[in-house]
Amino acid sequence: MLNVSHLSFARGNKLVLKDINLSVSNSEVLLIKGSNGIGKSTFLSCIAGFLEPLEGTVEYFSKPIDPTLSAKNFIFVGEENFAYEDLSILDNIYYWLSLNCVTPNQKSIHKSIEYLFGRIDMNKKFHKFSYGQKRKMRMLLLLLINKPVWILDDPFNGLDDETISKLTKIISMKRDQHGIIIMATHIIPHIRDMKEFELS
Amino acid sequence: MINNFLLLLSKEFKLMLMKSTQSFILFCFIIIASSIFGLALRYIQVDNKISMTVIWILLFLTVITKVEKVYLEDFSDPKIQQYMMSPIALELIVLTKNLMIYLNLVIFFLITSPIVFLILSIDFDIFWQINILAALSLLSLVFISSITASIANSKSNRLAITSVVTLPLFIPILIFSIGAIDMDLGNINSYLFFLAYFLLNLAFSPLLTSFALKKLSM
Repeated sequence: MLNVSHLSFARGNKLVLKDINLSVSNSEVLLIKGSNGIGKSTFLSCIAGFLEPLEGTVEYFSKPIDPTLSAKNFIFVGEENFAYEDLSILDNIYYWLSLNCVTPNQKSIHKSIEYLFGRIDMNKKFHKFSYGQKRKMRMLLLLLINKPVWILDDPFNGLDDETISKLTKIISMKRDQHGIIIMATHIIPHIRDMKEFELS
Repeated sequence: MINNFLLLLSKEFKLMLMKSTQSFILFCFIIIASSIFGLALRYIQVDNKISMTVIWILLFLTVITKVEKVYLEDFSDPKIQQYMMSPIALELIVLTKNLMIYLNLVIFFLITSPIVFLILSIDFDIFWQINILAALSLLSLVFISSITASIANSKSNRLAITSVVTLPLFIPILIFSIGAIDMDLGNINSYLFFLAYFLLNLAFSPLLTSFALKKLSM
């Protein structure tokens, strides 16, 4: 259960988010909607604990979010690519898995890459991948790191139809495994019983 | 946890090796700059102290450029977000990156130092002592530069300018390095200041750097 109560956030003198209240239970998908620049990414950053709110709290199972709690329970997949351009896709996976203290499992890594990318050269340098392929890389973390809360910022942007449907399936599976998924996107996926929250 | 950290170390090392081109270019700059200095003063008798000052100023410029470049790439917004979501503390990640930058720079310095010694006509009797002195100075230079780079990485231009407040921290290294030439470099006591200054930086730099990255770059 994730609770956001009376959350406000200001950037300089400008109030970006004002008195936001919402709660997401396990096995729920929350879609954050709103026009460009309304503060969707800022809101997700506040939930993840990257930004300190001006007022209000974000609690996970009645505990206020702190770096230890969010590192243990949250995966954040932002808009931009975080992989190292000089490393191969396989090295990148090993790097980000070790950073998340996940012992790499060769079989699941290969299976996940094949599921999202099809047959590719795993030792190919990341900078040689196309824009769309780079976007897929972000999704690999979701398959390989097991944390109960997923925070996804524009997860479908730049993906082809096939990958969008695969990602939708992955999100649905996570929800069925009692996970919490919070995402901000303009591309509305076909996920049943999705909760929506409009930022205005 | 330890195995994962060791794996992370090995990947950081690989990453730093891949970025050796930057270091190569920077050390080419050291060679060219010291050549210009040597040629400009070819008719003047220059003692070791002036040549050492040139080396240390070039080293300072090289380190600050290298650290800034690595921090700009490795601590971009999406990467910091992932680092903050990691069970490994950001301070530890900063420490790892700094040590890898140091290793990379110290190897390049060891390779290029004989050429620089030749160009600047520095006495080869003190070759190893100067290399040890440089290796110890580089540790502090890298750790102080990381604070400078993390503030310069700030999203706000006004705050980025405040990174200059860290520059005075470099002065003791420059002063003591040049002063060390007059001391008995065969004596281990001559190096103690550099070790102590590094330990001081080791204690504060990762904390200040990660604080700046969390608060200013997000």
